[in-house]
Amino acid sequence: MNENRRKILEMLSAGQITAEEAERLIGALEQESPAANGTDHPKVKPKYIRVLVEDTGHQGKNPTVNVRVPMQLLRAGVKLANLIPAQARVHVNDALHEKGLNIDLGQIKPENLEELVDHLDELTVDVDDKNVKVRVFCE
Amino acid sequence: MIPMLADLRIHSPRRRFALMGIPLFLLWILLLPVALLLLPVLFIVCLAVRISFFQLVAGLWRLLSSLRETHVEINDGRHSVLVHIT
Repeated sequence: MNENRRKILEMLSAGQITAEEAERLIGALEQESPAANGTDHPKVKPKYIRVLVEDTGHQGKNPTVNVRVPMQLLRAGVKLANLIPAQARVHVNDALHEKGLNIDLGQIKPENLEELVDHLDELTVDVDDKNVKVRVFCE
Repeated sequence: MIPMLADLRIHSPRRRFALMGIPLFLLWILLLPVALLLLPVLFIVCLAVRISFFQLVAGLWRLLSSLRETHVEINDGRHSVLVHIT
């Protein structure tokens, strides 16, 4: 709670102003600094998905990886994957089943894929091993 | 906008190879006539496999356009590869 709002509430509790006046004053405060509430900050969409593999071992034999993929590329790939013809989709489904993934590509709609990519911005994966540290995140 | 420049660096114990600022726009200019020749073939293939030709071309263009700012760097101590597209 900011200082001005606290003062208004104190004045209200002391009976110096009425509830209507307090409401009007708080409304005026909100109009004056809408960003100060912390609720009107637009969420910055991440532009890249980043994969970092760091060698934390002492011997330095493990590979290090630094990959930055634009989110737009993921979106484009996802849309392109949606064009897979039905005949090919059957083969892809079979291959996925063989690997133990019971996913039917025909059931995945473009809006689902969009949603999936949109939610990737909340993704963070950290894997700490004795010799390797893996981080997957959006930036 | 499609990528215009790329950096490529490959290091191995036997070979060191680095190309900075590869002018991709020249490659696109060279590939344009080939792409125009391939479009009718692609159209026929799309008809054969029953997918939308226009959606495919738009998707490929989108894929190409979004390649900008891609960065791949892999290093295993002895070998290293770097690809950066701008």
